[in-house]
Amino acid sequence: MVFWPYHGVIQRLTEKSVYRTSVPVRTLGRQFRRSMHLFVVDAGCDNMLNFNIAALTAPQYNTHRFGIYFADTPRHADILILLGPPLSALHDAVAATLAQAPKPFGVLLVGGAPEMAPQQEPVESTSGTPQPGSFRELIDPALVVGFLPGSPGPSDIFAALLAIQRGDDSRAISKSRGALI
Amino acid sequence: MSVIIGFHKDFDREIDIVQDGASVSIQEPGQTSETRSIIERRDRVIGNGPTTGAGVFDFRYGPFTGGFPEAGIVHYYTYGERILSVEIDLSKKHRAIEASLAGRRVNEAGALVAGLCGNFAAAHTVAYARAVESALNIGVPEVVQRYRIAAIEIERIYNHLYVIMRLATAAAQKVLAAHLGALFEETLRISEALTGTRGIGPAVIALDETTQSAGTEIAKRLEGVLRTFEKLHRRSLSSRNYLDRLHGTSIVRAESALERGLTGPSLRSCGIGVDLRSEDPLMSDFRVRTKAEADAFARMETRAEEIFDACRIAIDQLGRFSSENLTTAKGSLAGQLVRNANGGLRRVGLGVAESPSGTIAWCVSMDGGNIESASVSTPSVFGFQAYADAVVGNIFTDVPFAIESFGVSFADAGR
Repeated sequence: MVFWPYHGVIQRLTEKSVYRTSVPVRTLGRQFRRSMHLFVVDAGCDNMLNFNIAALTAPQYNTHRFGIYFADTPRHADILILLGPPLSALHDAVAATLAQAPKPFGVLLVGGAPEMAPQQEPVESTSGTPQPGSFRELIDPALVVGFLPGSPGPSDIFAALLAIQRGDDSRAISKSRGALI
Repeated sequence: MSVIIGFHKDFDREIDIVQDGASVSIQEPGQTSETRSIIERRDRVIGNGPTTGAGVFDFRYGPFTGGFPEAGIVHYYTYGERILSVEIDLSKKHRAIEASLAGRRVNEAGALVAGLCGNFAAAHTVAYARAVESALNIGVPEVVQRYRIAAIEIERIYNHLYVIMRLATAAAQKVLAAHLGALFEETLRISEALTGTRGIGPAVIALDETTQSAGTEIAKRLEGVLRTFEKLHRRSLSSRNYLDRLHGTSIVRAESALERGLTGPSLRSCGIGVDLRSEDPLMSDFRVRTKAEADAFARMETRAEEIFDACRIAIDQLGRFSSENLTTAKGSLAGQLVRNANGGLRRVGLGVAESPSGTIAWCVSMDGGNIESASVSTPSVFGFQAYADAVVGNIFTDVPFAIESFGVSFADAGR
């Protein structure tokens, strides 16, 4: 194997793809176009979403080229990625975490298979709107910038993040683009 | 040495799920086992209890703290440097999945079982399917068994890659971590090509999402993973920074590991060669990998060697059947399920699988096609207990290497 840093460069692992999201999202505003920091909150997922988030940090996606970084604390975050479906035992902790984020910030809801949260009320998935039911009880809908139901892979999450960050580059962006929350 | 790894309520009687070496069985209660109290406490707090004294405080870590991707709470009792004792709160991710299965039809349960722990979904669904098939007296065609073996091995590869990637990240080996991340993503894509979902899910038992004719292509991609990982692993072992962080960190005592129900690569890295795969007649040339040192480095090395083996096993198994065989077998399996589910059998079935982190055992009481009750034994419960025992005496900077090396999951333990 060649010298370690060269090995990385010559592999050319970063993929050139067009990432388009099929779900409506809301942009946070122009100030996040070059730098957007994410904090991931596992509100009760089955851990596969954590794996998909870990995969999003892989060189194939190279999120840093778009100024998308992961933060270690909600106080450094512009977007909180909430992995669900949320469990009632974690509601207070989620609320406390949301309270730590600096304004303006948005919440991207990811996951939410209703049958995976047996003690929660039934959740109905309605395309185009933030997840009602247990997610709605948990956070103010005005904070929600997008909702990716089911078990989205890293490319789906990445596409939604790019649309939130760079609304005009995505066809799927909603008309409320540019609105600050 | 036989160890109780779970309890089950079979209609109106209580039974124990017992592991003795590489075989798991159900037995009448009565056996004494140190694991009994761990299982009784698994929905609340496990560990080795609080410590009090001058200057000792409870350093609570979690549920949403940088460094822990999953929601869980760990209480470290310390006076500021050395860890004196640990309590792990597993209640936050408790979803009562076993109770939710009661009363459901057998074919409605796949998503719930797979969603118990997404990264062990193949092992959980296969163990569950084996339990149902045992209860309903269903004969599983060999081609389906081989397909399941391949799926579990691919799951093992991406779980082990994830663990080693996390260890490399904790040791600030950014280049290594990035390349392992690329392999990790590639393996998740391979699992998608095989089963239709990233993270092998209910497709393993339903066989609906199987990508036809993908076997050769998947084998080729797995060979690529194997080649690249061999180079990366060899190179990583030349970094003293990396090795120093793992050597001698969180050593598990072999005797206590067995008594406390530890299984999987964490047990094998203590020199104890217990692996459920060694009992599988379709894996006759399988060799159990062991290490003697029982520290974080041994656990990493065991996982690395298992990645090599898992690639070879998956390639071998995929080469032994065609998509046409699989489609035919699927029809046969579905037919048997419908016939036997309507036959009114009232029986209990036990199914096991060697997950990436140890033994998964599902016990299901069936009333025809309805699930009367279901119980599961998950490896992460005992893995967390072993972590709590092993990390005592270590210092705070050892924590990420210690916990990641066990490959445990709060979702798996929380159920």
